[in-house]
Amino acid sequence: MSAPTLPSRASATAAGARDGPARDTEGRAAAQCPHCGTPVEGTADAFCCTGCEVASLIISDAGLERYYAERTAFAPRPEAQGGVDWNALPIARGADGRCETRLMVEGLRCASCVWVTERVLERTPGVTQATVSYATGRATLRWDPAQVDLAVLARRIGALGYRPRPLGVEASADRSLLLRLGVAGFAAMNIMLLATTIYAGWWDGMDQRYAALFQWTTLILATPVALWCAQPFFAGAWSGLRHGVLHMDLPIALGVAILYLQGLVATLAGREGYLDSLAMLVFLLLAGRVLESRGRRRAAEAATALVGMVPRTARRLRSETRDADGTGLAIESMETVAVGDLHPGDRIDTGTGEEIAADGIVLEGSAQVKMALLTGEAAPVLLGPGDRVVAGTVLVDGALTTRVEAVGADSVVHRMAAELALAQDRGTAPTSADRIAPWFTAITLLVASLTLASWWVLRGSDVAIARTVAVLVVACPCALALSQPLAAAAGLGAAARRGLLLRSSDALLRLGHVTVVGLDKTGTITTGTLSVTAATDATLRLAAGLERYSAHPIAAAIIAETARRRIPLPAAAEVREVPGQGISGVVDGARYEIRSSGPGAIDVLGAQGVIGTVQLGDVARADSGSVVQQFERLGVRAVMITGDHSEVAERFGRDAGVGEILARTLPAAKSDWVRQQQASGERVLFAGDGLNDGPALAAADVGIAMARGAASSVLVADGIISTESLAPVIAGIRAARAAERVIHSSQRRSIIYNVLAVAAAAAGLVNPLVAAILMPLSSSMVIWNAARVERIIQAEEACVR
Amino acid sequence: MRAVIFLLPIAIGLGAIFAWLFIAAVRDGQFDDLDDPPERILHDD
Repeated sequence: MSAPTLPSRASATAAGARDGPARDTEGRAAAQCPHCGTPVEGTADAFCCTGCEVASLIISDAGLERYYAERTAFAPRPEAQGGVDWNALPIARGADGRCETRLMVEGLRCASCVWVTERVLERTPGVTQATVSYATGRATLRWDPAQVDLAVLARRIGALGYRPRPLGVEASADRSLLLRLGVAGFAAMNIMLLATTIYAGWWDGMDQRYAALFQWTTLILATPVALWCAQPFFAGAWSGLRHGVLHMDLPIALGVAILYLQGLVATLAGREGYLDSLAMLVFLLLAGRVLESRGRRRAAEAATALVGMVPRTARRLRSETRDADGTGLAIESMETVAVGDLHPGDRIDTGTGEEIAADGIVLEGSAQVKMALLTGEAAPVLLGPGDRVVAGTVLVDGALTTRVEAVGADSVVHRMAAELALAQDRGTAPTSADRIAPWFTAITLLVASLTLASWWVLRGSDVAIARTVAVLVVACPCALALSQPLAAAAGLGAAARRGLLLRSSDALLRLGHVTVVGLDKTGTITTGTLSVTAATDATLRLAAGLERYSAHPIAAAIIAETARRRIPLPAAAEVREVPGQGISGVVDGARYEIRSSGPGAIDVLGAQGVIGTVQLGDVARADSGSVVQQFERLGVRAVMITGDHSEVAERFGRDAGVGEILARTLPAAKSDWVRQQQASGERVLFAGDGLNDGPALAAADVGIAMARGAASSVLVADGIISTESLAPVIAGIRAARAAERVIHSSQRRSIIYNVLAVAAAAAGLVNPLVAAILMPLSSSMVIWNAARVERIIQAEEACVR
Repeated sequence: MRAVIFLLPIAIGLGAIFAWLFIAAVRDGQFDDLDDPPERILHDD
């Protein structure tokens, strides 16, 4: 490998200029890490850690130094990643023998991140195609399996500081809906031209031969619209009927069928039908469907990527007794196996920063283990021989040898997931339009038969049939059917732009009605990661110098805090890290040492003993307080629920301004609380991130999970917050309420339209021309109304500010 | 007025060509991702 060509100092500061210069505490020249922007003491171009140096090396090796000049945000600091079996992911093989797969890449901060990731991958030998999407974070990779494998590519993405994740089954693109929309649009526009000609002929007179030509052309164009483009509505109506539900697709399917049959009969008889209205309505309805499905797809994709479980590996110990040389010595060897191949009784090794692969009992070693996944507590717990460990918990510090007790379906995580699947059966609530649909259908049929009977008696069969058909045609509730999907799609889009990805419009509408919100503490009100809570600048600076090359979570917390305080990282020499014990090294010419001093604290020691202490712990998110205030302003009671000890919980609750606090709750008690609230008539929103929050998320009217939370919590949640903040929930409630207002006003107007139009048709005032003007007009009114959702939300946001 | 006999098929034929182009574009995946290409154009290699 060639010597690293470092990016020029000028370009690095240009990119970081907006953050201001690093504070210079002791008159030394202050610089920034050229890769991640962490302030560093000493010469220019000094990297803060080996991770950043490697990332920069990869970028310059690929000849991509321009990245540093063009980026608009610093790169994330590379994190240690291990124990992931990328090659076990499902990989598609093309006819040419090349492999293809998709990954989710997290941590992309600007368009240049996308550029550098793509180029680095493309310039890896064996890769034929690499495209990364900035909007969705999806990467599509094609490579030659003979030259490179997915594990190498994933490691390269990780080395740059971005986090690769496996992408689950991709939400299928809505291509068939788009095709139907395209065909309907083509037919509708041509039919409209023909119809205008025909209607003009009513006044100016038209040769019957030309009228027949236009009528037959219209029929030919309208046939695929009715039979193929409108198929989703027939399918929806049919599946509703089979399940004994009359939903909104039924009156639409009936309307389309009647419009087409009437048009067919009229054309054969040489008269004008309602085929122009038919084509226009199907086109508008399909446009509504396309908008709706696009809104839903983003949330679905984000969820599949988060849930896509990484196949993990474990280090299994194997002892062989070699009798060949007659000594009978047991020799230990280690092999890396997929987690699925572990059996009860196997012994596995887990080191610092790794996830424990299977439930078991500690045989040897001691380690700080973060159990947040299970208990919701951020502070790691010290475990030693004899203690039980659970798969998925993370070793913060130390090393353990454990004996596997349960795998697969018997494991704690699996049992909890099975419990969740049972609790999750929320079903789809009928929408307000679906509740109207049966009444609507019944009243239409009643009015139609009254029209038929009374005109038959008064004017005979011909007039009676013509007017009855007109009633059935204008009764088609297209505007009503568009009201909900369009406004909900606008609401979903508005929420997504603000960081809340909701899975369905049902969830959005339920969100607007919540009266009480249960907030988990760890990872929801708080950041859920280790942060420095107390330390002097001088102590922090020494600690950061020693920790700068460490991959330990404590090191990450200390470096992040020094960067926040703008303290440049000092240079350190002779750094030696003893896992589970501490770090020593030389800073400013003197030898220092870091040692753990109880849970959540480290001591910095010099020659004369302890110099200072760095306290570490969980801290509240910066905006938690304002979010809680806004909940109250929206009329939603906020309650904090946590498994933590009450004094710790109370401190966080007070900081965030939460009035009601439930401390020391067991995981099951969280869902009990949700059910109690529901029994007393409240609509409950629950926001959480851990595995232990799963039952509460599933039981609540709306469950919202943090994107960085446990996969199982994401799986059962209705929505995912994609940013590191709770503010998107507030935006979501506003979007839901705005959408609801618009839906109601649209529905009111469409019903008034339908009532007036049916009355006019029964009175014999409706002909194909009137229908062709009125019906698309009412649907357009609904579309225009849906655009108000975003404006309503913006007006409310302006009010709060 | 007799020109309509020729003009009508021509008009619909033209429309059909555009409809076919749209269908080909959808099949080609042109509409699968509407967010990235505008970003991508800012980067030349």
